[in-house]
Amino acid sequence: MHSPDDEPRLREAFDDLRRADAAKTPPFHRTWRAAQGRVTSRSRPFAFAFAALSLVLMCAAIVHRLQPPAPVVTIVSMSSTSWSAPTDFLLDTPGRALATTVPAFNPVPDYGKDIR
Amino acid sequence: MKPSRLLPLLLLFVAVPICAQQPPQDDPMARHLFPPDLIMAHQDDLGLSDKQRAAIKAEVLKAQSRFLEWQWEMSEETQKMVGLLRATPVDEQKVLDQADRVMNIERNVKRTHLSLLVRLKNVLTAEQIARLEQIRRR
Repeated sequence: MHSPDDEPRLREAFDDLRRADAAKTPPFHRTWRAAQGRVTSRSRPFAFAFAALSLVLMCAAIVHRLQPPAPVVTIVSMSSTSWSAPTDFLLDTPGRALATTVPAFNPVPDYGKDIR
Repeated sequence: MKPSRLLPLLLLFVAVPICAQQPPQDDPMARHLFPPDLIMAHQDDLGLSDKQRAAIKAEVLKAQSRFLEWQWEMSEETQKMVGLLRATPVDEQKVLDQADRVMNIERNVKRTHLSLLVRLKNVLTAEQIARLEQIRRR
């Protein structure tokens, strides 16, 4: 059991202890900034790599676009099952569908169903 | 978001459309010709005159009646060819003669269609052709 005389001594001892701890502990804002710096420095290489890759892709796309088109070589297939000639697209004549398709007719709606 | 992190994303957004805007390389002949449907679907955009519109319609109607006739003729001749090929043994000479008939019809169709497409292109001005190429690239 403490005597009333011990209280001021105890209070002073705790104050000394608190002051000693405070002297050793760095300020909060410095610790916070250091932590943020560690996160940024860890992600910086990835951001740079990503930016470099994007730049390379963009340059490749621009160079590819500026290159003259490669000469087109039409290869005629000689297999017996598939024949592809360079003028075959001309067989797809305008209005061809007229002779080969039937339009879709909408079914007559059942008016009786909704009458109450 | 920090500007340093936005930049790579912005670069990607620029690179992707550049890759996507490639002119059609599939058919070396067809890319220089324009089907009538494409022209008429964008007639206002092209600013077709009444004279141009009338010329295009006349050419298409003239060709279409012949196409339909040849289409049915080709169907008839192809069925005869199938009949000849079903036989055992197959009469090679008859098959080849029949093939000539089918291919003659095909030749007529292709020639008439090509003539139509060339005439349609000749009805258009250089600016209208350039505009059509732009529309097709979309």
